[in-house]
Amino acid sequence: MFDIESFEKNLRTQWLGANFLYREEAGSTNTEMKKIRSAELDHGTVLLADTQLEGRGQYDRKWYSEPGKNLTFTIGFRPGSPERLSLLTLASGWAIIKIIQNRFDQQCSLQLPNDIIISGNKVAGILTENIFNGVNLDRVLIGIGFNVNQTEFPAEVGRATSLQLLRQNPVPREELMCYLLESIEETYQKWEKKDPELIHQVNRSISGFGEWVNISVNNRPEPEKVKFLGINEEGHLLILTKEFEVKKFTHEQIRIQPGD
Amino acid sequence: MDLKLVKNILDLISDSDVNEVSIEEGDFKIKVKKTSDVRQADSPVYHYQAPQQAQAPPQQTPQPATTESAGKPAAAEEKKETVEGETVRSPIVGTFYRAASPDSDPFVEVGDKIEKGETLCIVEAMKIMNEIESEFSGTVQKLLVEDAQPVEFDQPLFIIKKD
Repeated sequence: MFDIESFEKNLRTQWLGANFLYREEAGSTNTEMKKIRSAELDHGTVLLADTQLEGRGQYDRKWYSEPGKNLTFTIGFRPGSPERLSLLTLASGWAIIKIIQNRFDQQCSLQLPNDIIISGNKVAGILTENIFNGVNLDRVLIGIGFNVNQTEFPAEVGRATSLQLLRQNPVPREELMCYLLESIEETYQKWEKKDPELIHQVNRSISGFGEWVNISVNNRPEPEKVKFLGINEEGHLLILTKEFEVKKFTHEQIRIQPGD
Repeated sequence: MDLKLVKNILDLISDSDVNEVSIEEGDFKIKVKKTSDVRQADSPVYHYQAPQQAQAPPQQTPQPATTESAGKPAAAEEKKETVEGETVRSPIVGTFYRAASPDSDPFVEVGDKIEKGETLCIVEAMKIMNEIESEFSGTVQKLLVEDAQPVEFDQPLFIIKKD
């Protein structure tokens, strides 16, 4: 069981998680968070499910989570403006990467669009859902699934790993949750202040950054390799073609094939 | 088969004194005949056979020239253009989806009563799902974008009549 008391006692954030909702079980934490009416959702609300039954990943793939072993939670933000919104998901990914690297000494990277991988194995995934009221951004739900102490993964989830598998030791989830929220809060503030350093940090953490890579655009592979120039301050993706043309992608689904 | 061709044949026969036309070309066979019914004198009726293209005929049905609409075509046109209500626009660039997943029902249909805060559609961009909720209660009058089509920022998506 997730020890709420120990988590709340150790949490050192200013506002993120101040409103903390706990569910023993939930279908998906994003769906659970969506049930909270707009008027009742505070900025920085965190909803954690000890067991997530139907976690969703990319392409609605099931995110397999063993009961009580992992961290599955959703953060509700109320940023006001939809400006640079796609950057917020990547920035949150970078906030998680920082913890994995600094606290657990594991080299990891962000795999577009929304996975965190260690040596080609997925350790965490992010699923963002933005909710607009008409044209106005109302709330941003960032769902995170983090493999913490799960040691076996069914073949259909693909290549996956967990902190315990990498460190040979179980990791206290409450402590990790505190680290993650502290890191995400700090990153969110940088995002809000449009800190240019954040773009550099995020870019450096994306696998394939600055390299000639194979990419696919909306699931169609590009015929030739391109140089991935990272994201710009608006959250758009930039590439350089072999003809030295710079192309910008504003909303397309871009995947970078693992390097060779 | 060329829909334009069919339309041309229909136009041709409707504007001429000819009452019946048959064309055969391999598998393709079309027979167009004006009815003798006085009320529908201007409306060509077609009989069409093309075994391999069974799905095509509904699209070729000529506008039925019933006495009612033929009598006042201008009024009918006008009515079509002015759908009353508020236009709901896309807040972002992306791909428009009418349902949460390919196998679920659309969030809304024309004629549906919707509540303030009810989800109307999803616009997906960079694998991020953007749900659009209605700012007001009302009735869906018109859908302006097909499922899975790209949409631009500010592009009209729905017309909804406020309660």
